[in-house]
Amino acid sequence: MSGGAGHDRTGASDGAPARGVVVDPERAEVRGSPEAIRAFLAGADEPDPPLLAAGLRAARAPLARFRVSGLKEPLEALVDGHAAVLVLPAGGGETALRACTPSGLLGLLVRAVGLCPRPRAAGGPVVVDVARMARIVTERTAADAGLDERDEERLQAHLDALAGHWRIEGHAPGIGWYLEVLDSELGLWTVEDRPEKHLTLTPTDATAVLDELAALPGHVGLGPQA
Amino acid sequence: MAVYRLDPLGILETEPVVLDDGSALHELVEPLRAPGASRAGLSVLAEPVPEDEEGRDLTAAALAIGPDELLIDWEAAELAGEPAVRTLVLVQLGGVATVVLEQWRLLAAGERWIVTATADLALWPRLAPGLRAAAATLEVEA
Repeated sequence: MSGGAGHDRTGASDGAPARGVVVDPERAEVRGSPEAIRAFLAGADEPDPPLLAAGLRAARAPLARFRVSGLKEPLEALVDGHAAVLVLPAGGGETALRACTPSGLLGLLVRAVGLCPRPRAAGGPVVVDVARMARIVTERTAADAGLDERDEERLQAHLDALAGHWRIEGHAPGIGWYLEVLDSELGLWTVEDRPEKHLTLTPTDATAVLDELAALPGHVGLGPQA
Repeated sequence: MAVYRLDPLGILETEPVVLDDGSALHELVEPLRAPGASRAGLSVLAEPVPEDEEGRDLTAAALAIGPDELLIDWEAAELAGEPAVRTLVLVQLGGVATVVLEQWRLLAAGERWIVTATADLALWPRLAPGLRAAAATLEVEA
């Protein structure tokens, strides 16, 4: 089956029609209700263009999954060594599968998390207890974080200007990796696990965050290693 | 006319290809090349320094980006012993490809220079350290 030009509400899988799926060749996208998408993926239909066909192969047999949290709605991507699909809410309760190349996916993830120029946050990392992190973020308070006065003031200023808190997780069989960022008007801080249920919050910059985000596929066994 | 030198560090072609805009592109050496939406490498462009103050404003020029471009980062930097402005920009072609442009703009030896490290974003983790290291070796002289 070929999607052809324009939007087709179609979808054949193993010869049986999958009702309610729209193929948009121009956007290399398939959308429909979650049930229709599941039925579509259960089949073997590979509509044109080639990028969409490649993305659907990745969706049917992913080597890794990426999940972005901290946005208005979570974002998921299914990836193999050649292509990916980004799973997007399409409005009206529908789901869209947008096919991407590996670099296309990374670019869309960068756009989704809103990575942009920020001042270079000064100072070294601070360490907080995992149990205190939820309160730090949800209440935007550094009080009782167990920090000395200087670091508490520094973290509080960052939280007062917080613009976002996002995390991208990558999972492949037997391996996982993540990139978590506290994004504020004053700068970017990464959040990393450390031993004994503690987290390290490290001031960084947008260049380092982009470099690390681009390296995520390599960390879960896809694409070139850094 | 000013000339430049850079150390290809074994990852870039010594002889550049001259592109349509006049920039000299030192492509990756053959073993490092991979399919992608752009020709990965390091390009160097020298132009006459604009006479007007606006044209000499490196920061304004660096931050002027196109509709398909995403400015990720910028900072004051130094290259070839001169003050420079470094930018990191993504060029996005929907889901089809994302290309990284890391650029340094500077005035040196009477000309305006733009040095650009470029690669497909999926290849960036492997290539960026070498491209940045090669850019850092740039020398210019009148």
